[in-house]
Amino acid sequence: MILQALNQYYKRLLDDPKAQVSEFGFGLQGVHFALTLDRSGALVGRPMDLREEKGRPRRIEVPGPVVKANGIKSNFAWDNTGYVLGADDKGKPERTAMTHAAFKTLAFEALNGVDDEGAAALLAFLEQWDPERAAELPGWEEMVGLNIVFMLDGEPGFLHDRPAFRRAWRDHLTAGNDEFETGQCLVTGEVAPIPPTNAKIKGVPGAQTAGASLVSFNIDAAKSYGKEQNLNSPISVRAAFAYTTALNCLLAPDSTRKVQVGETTMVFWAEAPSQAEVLFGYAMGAKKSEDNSLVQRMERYLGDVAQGKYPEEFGEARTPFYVLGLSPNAARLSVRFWHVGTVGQMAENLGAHFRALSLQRRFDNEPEHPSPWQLLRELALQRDIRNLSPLLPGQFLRSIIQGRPYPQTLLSAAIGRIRADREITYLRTAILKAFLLRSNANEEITMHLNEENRETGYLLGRLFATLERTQNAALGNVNASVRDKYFASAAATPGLVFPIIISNAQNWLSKIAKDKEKGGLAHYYDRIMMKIIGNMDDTAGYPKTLSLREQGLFTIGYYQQMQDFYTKKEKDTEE
Amino acid sequence: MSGIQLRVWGEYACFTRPELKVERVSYDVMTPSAARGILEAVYWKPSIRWVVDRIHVMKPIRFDNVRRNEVSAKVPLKGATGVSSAMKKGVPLRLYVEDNRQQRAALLLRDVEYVIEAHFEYTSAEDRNDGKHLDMFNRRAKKGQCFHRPYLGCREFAAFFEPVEGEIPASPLFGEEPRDLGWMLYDLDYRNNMTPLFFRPSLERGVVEVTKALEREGVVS
Repeated sequence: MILQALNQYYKRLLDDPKAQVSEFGFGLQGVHFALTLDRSGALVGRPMDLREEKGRPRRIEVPGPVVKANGIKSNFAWDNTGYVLGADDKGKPERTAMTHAAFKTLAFEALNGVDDEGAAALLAFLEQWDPERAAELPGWEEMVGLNIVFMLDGEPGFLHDRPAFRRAWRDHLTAGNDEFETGQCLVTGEVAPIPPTNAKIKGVPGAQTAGASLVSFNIDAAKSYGKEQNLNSPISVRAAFAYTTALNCLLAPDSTRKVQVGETTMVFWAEAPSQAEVLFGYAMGAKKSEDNSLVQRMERYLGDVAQGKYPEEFGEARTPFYVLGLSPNAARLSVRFWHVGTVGQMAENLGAHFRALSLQRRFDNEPEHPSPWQLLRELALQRDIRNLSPLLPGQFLRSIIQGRPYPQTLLSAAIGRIRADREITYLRTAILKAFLLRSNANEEITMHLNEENRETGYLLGRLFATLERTQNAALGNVNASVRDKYFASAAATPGLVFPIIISNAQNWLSKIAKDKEKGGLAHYYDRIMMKIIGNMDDTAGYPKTLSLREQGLFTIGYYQQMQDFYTKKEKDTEE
Repeated sequence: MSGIQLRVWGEYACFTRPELKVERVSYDVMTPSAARGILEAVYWKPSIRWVVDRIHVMKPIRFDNVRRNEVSAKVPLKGATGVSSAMKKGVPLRLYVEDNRQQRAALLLRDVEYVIEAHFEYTSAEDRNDGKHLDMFNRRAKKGQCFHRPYLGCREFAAFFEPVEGEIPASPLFGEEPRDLGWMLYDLDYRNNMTPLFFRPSLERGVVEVTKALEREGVVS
């Protein structure tokens, strides 16, 4: 289904004039220089530098490009200097001579009998050209080994873009397919030539820079029934071109349909153009647009979706929506997840996810709709996502997309991180809240402090927050506060810790009571503590241990009680 | 020809797609050839061959990601370490896992259950006795007997099985919209250079109508 869906997406892109995808037999390639020929095939002027700032090659559409694994395979009418001019800096003159010969052979074969002045010029050039002269070219030092295309003097555009060249190349391709064995294509079902290898997929970070293969049989263990290469999985020439082109287009550097979370790269697309595609990328943390109005529009959509509304701009809710998660494995790509849904479901699941997360923020600049990346970063050692289990991001994304409970490891990762560095942040608490809500339908956790909640974990968390405030009021900022000393143990083993802190609290309260300015606070905190303790089941005393779920509640209770103190204080000052 | 109904289930399953079999990705549902393999594990003789008619999907389709240690090589046929010289010279046949280990990811099916509907056909004029073969299959299936442990696509995912008597219960996917499953491996044509045969089934009311899809495609089984 993955390849079929990509194949369809390619067709959609081909029909869309705004999307720049190549037609069959052509592809984008980074090219560095252009040589200009006159009509007799002689070089004119200086080689033109096509590179952008920072020396990056310009990506232009060229015939091919062929898959160069090993061996010699030339491209048509463009390639690196070793092929085009028979000179490079690899120090293997014999091989370079062979590559140049391959380039010539291909050009003569493909342009045989083509009536075009560009074709005549290229062939004349190849006949006259002496590789020894390459070093005399102006700027040769910079050019050596890089990709080169041709231009015809006085004509706009590149030589390979001339209609005659494109036609010649297409004819050549069709003729060349006769070499391939035929078979039934598993994407389209038609009987067609099967190319031995498929084009590489570029743009998945962590994979080889030259690109990696989604479909490959590069190890013996992958071969079945003595079949070689892609005969193990027959994909026709056209289908292979379509799926690789579509996927490469989704993974292109400026693509808005791609999100990177950990080592997983996620691409997504809908079967028909829809604003939902853009929103999904936005919510998942794709490249943020500079365009402010777009950001505002996306926030509006997100708000709608989080309230369970379906924005009209998303179009037909039943349009299929695909999400593909890829992760690199050296020369190969592996599929981390594959989800087929509809635009409507996607909006619903996204909404449910953000509803579960919603929590009173600590600061206004904190994200209201945090992306998965922002959330996962909170769970990693030193907030470096590389320190996270490689499985977690994939599982997390999948549970968001499919609207399923979050992976269990999310809870233990969050609690473990809080225990280690005692930072109870908005995002971490939001993760805990979302996890608990999603894993248990009966869970009742609100966005703000809920004084009605009688869960022991929650109450203990609130109590702990109150104790911390009391200490702060009594002693000011101390080196090691109750939180620094006791948070982890209070959450895990309250039975051991709370009696100690409570007895300390008596001293803090009496100290505050003696203070003239803050005297009233002693009564205030004492009353809150009494209220919380009063809500607890007093027959059991403090529980010896708390489960992970209760520790999650503890943290939420702590966070919300703290937030409540802050907000109350603001109100007081306003009055 | 009278048919059989076998319920199979297991914790994991991987009906590997040929295009994604290095870093494995499973098909959404069991393939007919995997179903045939299970039937053959329970009961088979050279005089019959199993033909899968219908596959009922009895649990929602769920995927899960697993990383496994696999090897990158096969024991070669020829050469000093291959099968031929092992047989001729008595050299031990071996493959060192340590030298060929690779970690590979797989997208598997989780918690699956199917009911396979199938019938058998005769391969020759001999041993034609419908009742005998049917009884043997059902008796063996009921007792849990098998020639080798049946599995769900990959050997490591064992299949549990039992015969279904009477009506097959409706699939939980009964109410869903028909789902196109794309081109799926039907079987291999062993007589014709082991060419893979593909067909295009769809999941309707939670059932893959194998025979119908084959007829539509004109694939000869």
